Amino acid sequence: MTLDLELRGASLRYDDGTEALRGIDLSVPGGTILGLLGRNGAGKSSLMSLVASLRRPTDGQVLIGGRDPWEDAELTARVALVGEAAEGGAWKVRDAVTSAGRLRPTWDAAYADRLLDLFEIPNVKIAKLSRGKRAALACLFGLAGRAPITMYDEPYLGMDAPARYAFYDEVLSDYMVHPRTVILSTHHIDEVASLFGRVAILDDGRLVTDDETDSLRARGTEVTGPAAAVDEFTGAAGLRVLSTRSLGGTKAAVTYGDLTDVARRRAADAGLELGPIPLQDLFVHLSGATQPEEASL
Amino acid sequence: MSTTASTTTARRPWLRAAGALGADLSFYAVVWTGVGAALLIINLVANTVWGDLEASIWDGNASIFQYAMLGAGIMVVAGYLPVYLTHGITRRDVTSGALIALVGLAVVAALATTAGYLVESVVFDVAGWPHVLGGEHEMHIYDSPDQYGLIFVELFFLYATHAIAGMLIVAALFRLGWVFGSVFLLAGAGVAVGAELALGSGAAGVLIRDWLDIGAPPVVVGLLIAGGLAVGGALLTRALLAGVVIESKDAALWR
Repeated sequence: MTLDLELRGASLRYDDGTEALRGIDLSVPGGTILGLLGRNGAGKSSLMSLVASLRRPTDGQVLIGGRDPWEDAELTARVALVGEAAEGGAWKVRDAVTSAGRLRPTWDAAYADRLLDLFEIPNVKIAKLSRGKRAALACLFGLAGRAPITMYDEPYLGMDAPARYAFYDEVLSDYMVHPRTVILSTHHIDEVASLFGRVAILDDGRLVTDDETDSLRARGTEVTGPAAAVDEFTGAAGLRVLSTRSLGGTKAAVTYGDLTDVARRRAADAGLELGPIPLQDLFVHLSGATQPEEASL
Repeated sequence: MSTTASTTTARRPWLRAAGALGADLSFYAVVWTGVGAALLIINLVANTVWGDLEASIWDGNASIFQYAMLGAGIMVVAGYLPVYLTHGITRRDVTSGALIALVGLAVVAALATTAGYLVESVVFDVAGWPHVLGGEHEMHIYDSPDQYGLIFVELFFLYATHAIAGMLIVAALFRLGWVFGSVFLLAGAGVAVGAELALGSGAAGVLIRDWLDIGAPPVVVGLLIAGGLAVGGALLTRALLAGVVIESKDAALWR
């Protein structure tokens, strides 16, 4: 079973006056793997804390399966938030896994055992684990918990590359067998971008974009050619110019917007090259870049 | 396929929380049982070697266990609430589960402490020492260390109120922060010390009673007061925890 997630005008203001989220409207259909992207302080953790009912929105609503999850035991049991693995931990690994199994009705104990082996996590006090193993243990909770909405708030930051890739493989392979909504917040965008069915980008508490990954990628185009032709083309095509680089009379513009087939033919006729932009670059330009950047090559 | 949340009743999550917490607290119970057994043995051996005993020594030793229960109440909220919320248990169910687990722990601890009097009576009988209550200040609801039923009842109420007092203190700090939450230290202390005064037992209760020069109320009244304090403290704790917020950085998957 999967659950739809919806935020309607959700805002969150902390006691110190910080506006962490500003009127977020976001719809995540059940069974989506969503990449939640944003710079530090953009509001990713705040958004996930609302979905996990760790706090309530100051304004607006969070709806899971059409209902407010706050203190709704049936819904909160179906939502898991896996945060960055904190230091410390008085429990032994096995005790923590057993305790989680008692609390999560959807817990898969056999899968948890397999993951302990896969990530080579020893049964010692959690405080004695390396940062990478603690991160792997946190990811294990998300995977074996099998919650219909599972959110990962960058727990994998401490893992080395092989462990991260093993985790990504597990997310995907387990998702194929047990479809659910997975929300991944990450800075390693290109590593994990192939998993994303949908991407939402936050900046300064606002939702900058929310789209299918392929559609988002298709909107990002680098237009390269004679400066005047680039300017004329981007203006005529109504593209949003995110950044430009110039070398002599040649200009490369990173643009965002829909390109019709007619526009593509016109670009070819004008001697312009159109190229894709990696998701990571698109993210960099869309988050925090309110003004077009200009640089010299 | 996407669906809306079903309205079928989920398995009782408060019972799941109580079971998990009970299992987690069992280690705490084992440790304190070990402490109690060690105290009893050390005292008996020392007194056997260096002199005769004229009254129960367990009666004095046992008075520390209500403070262990206070610690259990503190630990449950401070240590387990963020973990259980992160694992998808609601505040209401964590509170209910914690109260059930702590009341269960109070029963077990009261039985274990009562068993201490029984063990002591056997040793005293063998040694030919008089097994009587020797405390000059402790009043209790029982007159003799072999009134096991009354001993159990007093200890149960004492332990339960202290555990709830511990929960109340930390619940207030979690909900209201250090400045306003500290006011509830008095409320928490009120539940614990009030029960000690009502039952005529416990170090803080004895001090205050001696200072005010008052006696313990009749047994039934004392039990009603202690029970009322436990229920009041539990309701206040529940109300405080109902809206408690967990910062993202405090979300925890383990202790």
